[in-house]
Amino acid sequence: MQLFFFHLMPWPHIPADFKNTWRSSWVVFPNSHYDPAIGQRIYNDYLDELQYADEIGFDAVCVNEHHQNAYGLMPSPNIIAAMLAQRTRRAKIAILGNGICLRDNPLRVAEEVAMLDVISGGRIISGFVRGIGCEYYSLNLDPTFSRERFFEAHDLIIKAWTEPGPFEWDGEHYRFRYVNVWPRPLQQPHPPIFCPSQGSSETISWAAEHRYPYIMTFTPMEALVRYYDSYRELATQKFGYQATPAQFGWTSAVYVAKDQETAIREARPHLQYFGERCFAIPPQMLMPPGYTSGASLKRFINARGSAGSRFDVDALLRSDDTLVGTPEQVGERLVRNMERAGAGIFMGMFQVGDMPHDKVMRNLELFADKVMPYLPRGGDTGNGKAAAPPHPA
Amino acid sequence: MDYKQEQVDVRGCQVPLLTGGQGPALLLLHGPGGAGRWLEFHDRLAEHFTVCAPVHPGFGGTPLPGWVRAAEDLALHYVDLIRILGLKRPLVAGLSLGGWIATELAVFRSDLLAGLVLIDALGVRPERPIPDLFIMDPMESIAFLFADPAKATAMMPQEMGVDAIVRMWEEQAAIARLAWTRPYNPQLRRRLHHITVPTLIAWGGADRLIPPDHGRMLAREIEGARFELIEGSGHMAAVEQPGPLAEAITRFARTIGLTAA
Repeated sequence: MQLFFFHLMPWPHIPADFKNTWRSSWVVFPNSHYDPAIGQRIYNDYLDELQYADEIGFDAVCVNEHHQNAYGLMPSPNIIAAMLAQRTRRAKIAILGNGICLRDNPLRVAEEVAMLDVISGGRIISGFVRGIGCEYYSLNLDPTFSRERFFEAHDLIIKAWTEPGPFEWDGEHYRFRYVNVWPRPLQQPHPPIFCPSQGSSETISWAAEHRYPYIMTFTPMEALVRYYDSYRELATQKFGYQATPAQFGWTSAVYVAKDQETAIREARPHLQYFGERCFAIPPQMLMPPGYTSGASLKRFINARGSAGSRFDVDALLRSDDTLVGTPEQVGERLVRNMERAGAGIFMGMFQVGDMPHDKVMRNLELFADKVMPYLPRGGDTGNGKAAAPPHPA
Repeated sequence: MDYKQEQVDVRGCQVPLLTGGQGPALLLLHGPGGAGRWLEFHDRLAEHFTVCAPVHPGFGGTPLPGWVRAAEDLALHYVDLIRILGLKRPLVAGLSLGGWIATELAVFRSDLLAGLVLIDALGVRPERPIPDLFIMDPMESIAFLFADPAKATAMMPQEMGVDAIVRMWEEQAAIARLAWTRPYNPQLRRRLHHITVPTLIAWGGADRLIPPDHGRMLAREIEGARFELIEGSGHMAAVEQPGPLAEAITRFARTIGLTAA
């Protein structure tokens, strides 16, 4: 399997009682709660954690894009990716992803990702996302055109990377007289495209058609397997190929300690912080009107229960899906869940919520020492285009 | 009162249409929550008018067409509908979002209308920002729409199952297409002088979404327009005060010689 370190770069000082005043830690939670002096230290701690993941043998480090929120402080993932290109040596840098339809000029993504790919020596994985519902409030974008704009932005970027410029693009949502992106990406024909998604049937079908690795986050295992099975079915029945594990990712928080009791005690407050404060999003902000089709919304509600259902940290800690425990427990559950999901890419959140830097580093170190050596490593990072370097162990 | 339910083909778009009553034609453009419903308000109007109440494309369970990009597109859609139904200079009345469409229609095609009635209409940029209903949970938004929240229950589906939630959400999407990025047309105010038909502006006295002063401004900007305050109503005057609102419209029709005294 491929091991990715998935970081959200959360703000760790959301007050416990913030929900008495604010409906969400997104969009409307005042930025007066952000302290830039603390922020300076936190950004650099987080970057150190990602750099360390490269040193101890992770296959990739992940960044992502979210706006106007305390959940994840990477409104520009490409800026963080640029720093990682300098701080890391061998790990791939997975941008999961750029919100390509959130920009009025998607060619900026084509330019920036090409820059990163050239500078990093071809280590970029380029995820494309629509952004979660909150983004459409923060950026004042019509959610009913989200998918159309996403597909068109994708087609435009891929064409900009693969066909000689200049050419003209005259689409429904974007128009450019001259498309002629300098630089061109180093990886040919272009960096691998990943598709992180919330499981709408339209996106699953689109990803299966393009053979893009598909990743769902924070989805219960049973629902996740149903979504991934529908991708696999579409691949064989509609698009005429067999999907491989390299086309699926599974995500979980990870916390390792010498015994289970310690692991649970130490991880619990941070998981709780994540669920109750970072992820405090009412249903209408998660799924603004028209963000997906009515049929997909129905499937989403049926798969997850009410989108606003209460977060239960103890249920999460009891669940087999959660990788909190001894090295043996974590390793065994990880392998079992990857098999259940039919996934080849593991995206571990080794920093969760307000987990402080020293805990994260200990967690990573213990995982590297006691879990990693026993994991089946290797496989490719999707698209079959770039083989992973062999694990040093 | 009896009313007829049918589907009308408007250039390939299937439009559900409710028709009832007798008298001069009144084309009624619904607001949020009103698609495809024949309410007490319709009954009151049908005593004096032939009420034609179409469903906007994308509302009331109909698919949202890609060509709907702005209220102007729906105004042109109603130019087609007026021709298809053979309406001879109807009175056009619009509620809330429907008022926006009616305003656009009257700006470009006053020649097609006998008169215009705007009820708590969106469309023209208000002096104060319109509260964001999309970010509110349903109970919260009711306080902005109704003077008496109990009246809102009449608009709610009987059972709040998954299908009802999805249906309401799809209707919200049709509203979002018109009003998410800007809940008004920034060009519309300077175009109001193109409205050359007699106009009534009716406004809920307790409208918290767009306060009545906005209606008074519209009445000043549209030549010869008169203004009527509907007491005891919020933004949803047709639901909250159907009698007084229908009377105001009937009185207006009489003064412009549309209905007999």
